[in-house]
Amino acid sequence: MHAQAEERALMTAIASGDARALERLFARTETRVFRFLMRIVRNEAIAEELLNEVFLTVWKNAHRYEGRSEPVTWMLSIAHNKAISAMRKRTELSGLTDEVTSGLVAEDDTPDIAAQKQDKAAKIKACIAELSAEHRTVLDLVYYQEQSVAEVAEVLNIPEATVKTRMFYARKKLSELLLARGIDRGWP
Amino acid sequence: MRNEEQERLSERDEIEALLPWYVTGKLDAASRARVERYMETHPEVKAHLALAHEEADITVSSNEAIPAPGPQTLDRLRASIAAAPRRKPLGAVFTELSDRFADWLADLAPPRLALAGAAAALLILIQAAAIGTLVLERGAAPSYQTAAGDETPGQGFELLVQFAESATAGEITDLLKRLDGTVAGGPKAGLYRLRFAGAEEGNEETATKALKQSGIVTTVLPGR
Repeated sequence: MHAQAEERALMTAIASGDARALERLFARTETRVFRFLMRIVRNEAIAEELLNEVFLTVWKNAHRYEGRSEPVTWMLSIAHNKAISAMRKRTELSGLTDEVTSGLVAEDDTPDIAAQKQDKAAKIKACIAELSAEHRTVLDLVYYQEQSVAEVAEVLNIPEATVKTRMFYARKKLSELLLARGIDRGWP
Repeated sequence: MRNEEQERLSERDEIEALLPWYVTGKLDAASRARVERYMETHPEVKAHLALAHEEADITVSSNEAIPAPGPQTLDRLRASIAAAPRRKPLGAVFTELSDRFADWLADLAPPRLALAGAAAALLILIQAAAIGTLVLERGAAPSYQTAAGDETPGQGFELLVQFAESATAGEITDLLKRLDGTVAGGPKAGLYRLRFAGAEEGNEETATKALKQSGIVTTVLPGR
């Protein structure tokens, strides 16, 4: 059976109260969802906590899944909401904006990547890490999670036109950051 | 960023924006054809596909560098779902409830029946307070959640209910739990407003029937 069809069948079983189906869905998707959470919150303990919350929400609300999108898209949407909520709480507690914390994390990353500075790929990786959470997330959803325009719109709860615009500016910002590091991509 | 996102992209910029989906094969047929037509007349854009491939490779490798969550996550999930039992479909709950109520009545010998009546009479005194507590609990803990975990007021349906004088606080709590209901308000003229989560057709009728058969409800009227 096709992977997505299997996941839809698991959702149906979960909706009827089958806990083993939830465990199977967890085994299939936990790494994907966990990495998505990690890329947003950048903290393993928080990501694991949110991962648990995501699947608990799936367990409680599987009967509300209407099958209009793939189960993974639905779960990523839940994960995104929880991650953004957690980031807001953390920002309120610390008084730091996302941009500031993003910069701090990039600073933390510097020692690890310092030895790789000669490598263009490492520079691109470092520049992606410097992007805002919104820009980074749209890149992750498209390139790693392989979501379509419509699916990204559902996960982020924004119009499809905004998804395209956000992607455009994410890539433009990436080019600007790379130019500042001596790499001219020739675009835009 | 918000202002940027309100801007309308030029055709060229929109094509550039679509390249990531083009390289992942996630464009719909019409958009894919549009990108290809544009690249035929603008070969410099075709060269930019290499940039999108580069971004894709690095984004994938960055994600794959994140270790999978530890094995304890599944145990933790099991513990969480054990502490958060699933709601059963309303129909199954009503069948179970009516069966259990019938069994309970059948098992009662006259002396036990009298004792149960006496105990129920004593508990009448705390019934109103207990229902009041349920109203407060409802305010503190949303009874129905969306996928994102937020309360969704207005879902489901409501019924106006008068409980029997003999109904105990425990029976009322148990009944509401089993029918997935909460106390939304009251009492007004002796009637409490109960809210139920199930929005499927026929649930209201089934719930009304189950409440009437519960043995602790004397009146059931349609809510809003």
